[in-house]
Amino acid sequence: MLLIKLLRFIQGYIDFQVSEGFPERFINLCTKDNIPLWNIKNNGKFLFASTTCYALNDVKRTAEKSGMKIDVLKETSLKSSLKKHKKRKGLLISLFICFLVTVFLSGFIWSISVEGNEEYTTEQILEAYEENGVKIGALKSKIDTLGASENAVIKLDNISWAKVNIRGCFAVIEVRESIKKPKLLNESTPVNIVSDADGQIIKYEVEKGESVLKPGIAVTKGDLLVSGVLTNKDSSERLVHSKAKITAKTTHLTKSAVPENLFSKSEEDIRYSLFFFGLKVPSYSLDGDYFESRKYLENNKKILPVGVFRYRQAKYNTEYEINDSEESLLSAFDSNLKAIEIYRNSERVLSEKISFSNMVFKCKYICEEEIGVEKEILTG
Amino acid sequence: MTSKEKPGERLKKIEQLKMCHIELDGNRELILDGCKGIVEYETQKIKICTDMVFVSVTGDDLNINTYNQDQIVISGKILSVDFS
Repeated sequence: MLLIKLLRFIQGYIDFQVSEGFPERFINLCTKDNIPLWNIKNNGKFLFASTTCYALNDVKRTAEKSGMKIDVLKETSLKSSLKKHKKRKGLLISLFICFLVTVFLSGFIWSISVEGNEEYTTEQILEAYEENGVKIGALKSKIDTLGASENAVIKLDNISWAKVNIRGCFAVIEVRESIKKPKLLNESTPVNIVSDADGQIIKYEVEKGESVLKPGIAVTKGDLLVSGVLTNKDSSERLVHSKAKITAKTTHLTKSAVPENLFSKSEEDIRYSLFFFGLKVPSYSLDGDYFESRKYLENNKKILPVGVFRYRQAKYNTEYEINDSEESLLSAFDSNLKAIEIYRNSERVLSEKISFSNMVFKCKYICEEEIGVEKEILTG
Repeated sequence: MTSKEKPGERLKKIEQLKMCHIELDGNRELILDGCKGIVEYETQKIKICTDMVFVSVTGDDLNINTYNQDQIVISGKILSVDFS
């Protein structure tokens, strides 16, 4: 309907009224002669209707044949609207500039989303693609999607397939992670299943073997959970390769302290730059390690390629030498951070409590995990 | 339309039998196919001539939105549709 109205506006149409005579004959004659008429209204005295500018002469002739008197009320067309605003050159120029700006801005990537990733984080995948030119604010015509995907697959080990699709101004990166080769089981060896950690058993799913304990019971590391020694009806025994899935609630605690002197900051450098469609104002080149945080303008889940980048570089007291005990504490601190990542990514974490005070880092995780591991039954 | 009829067959039948086809959208819009001419046009009554019958549409503020060779679209507050 909107399209029809737009077409009529571009072609031009006339609103008119006819009076006296025979309105029915007038409408029938117009239809017979293929004269377009619409919005026909009759108020008893006048008949109002609209027709195209080209058909006006035909309408006048038909009105005469029907004994009707025609009055043109209004002419609406693109031509007459432009004529009315002829002196407003600024309007036309700004419309043209608006059109140019829209065309220019639509040549950039406005936002990028990642789909299909499970093991790899969105940031890791975006970083791999950014090195190949696929980033917010990049020119669409300069992006080699095939090359970028190939390089990303080479860089990220467990990605078997990756593709970047550019839909309008938005890029969607789709990845498929490789399925790891399953561990081949040697089912001929008789094994028991023992506990790998301390915890409270939640679920017992035994496929082969005899369960020794029940759900709800607390176990310690090394306790027997499923026995591979089965008693037959004739009281003889046979050994089997036990298979079971035992889920338990476990608690993990980590703690490490960091020497205070080591992390004394001597100075901190914070800089900001404005980002606009790939352009950074001002552009910095910082030496050494620094943290970069990006904040883009967002509107209803759509991210615009306009924002502020913050760079923070901290300089530490480098004259201080680390001794062996502090070195081990530092490595414990690092392993704590890695542990957090492992716990968050691999186990089903029920609760997490992290505290850092007086340079002591403490973490407490309550997880739901599988604790059963196979242990070979030694015979002879 | 019966399940055995193919789409379009019904319209062909209507055309062969020279019947008009009327579609009503509530009591606000009426689309009539097979219109041969307007016999009467007033604010409260529009009488249309088809091949077999005369169709009278009665209501308030009746307007003809479009009128082509064969199809007429009437809008307004339709109170009744009579055949004579």
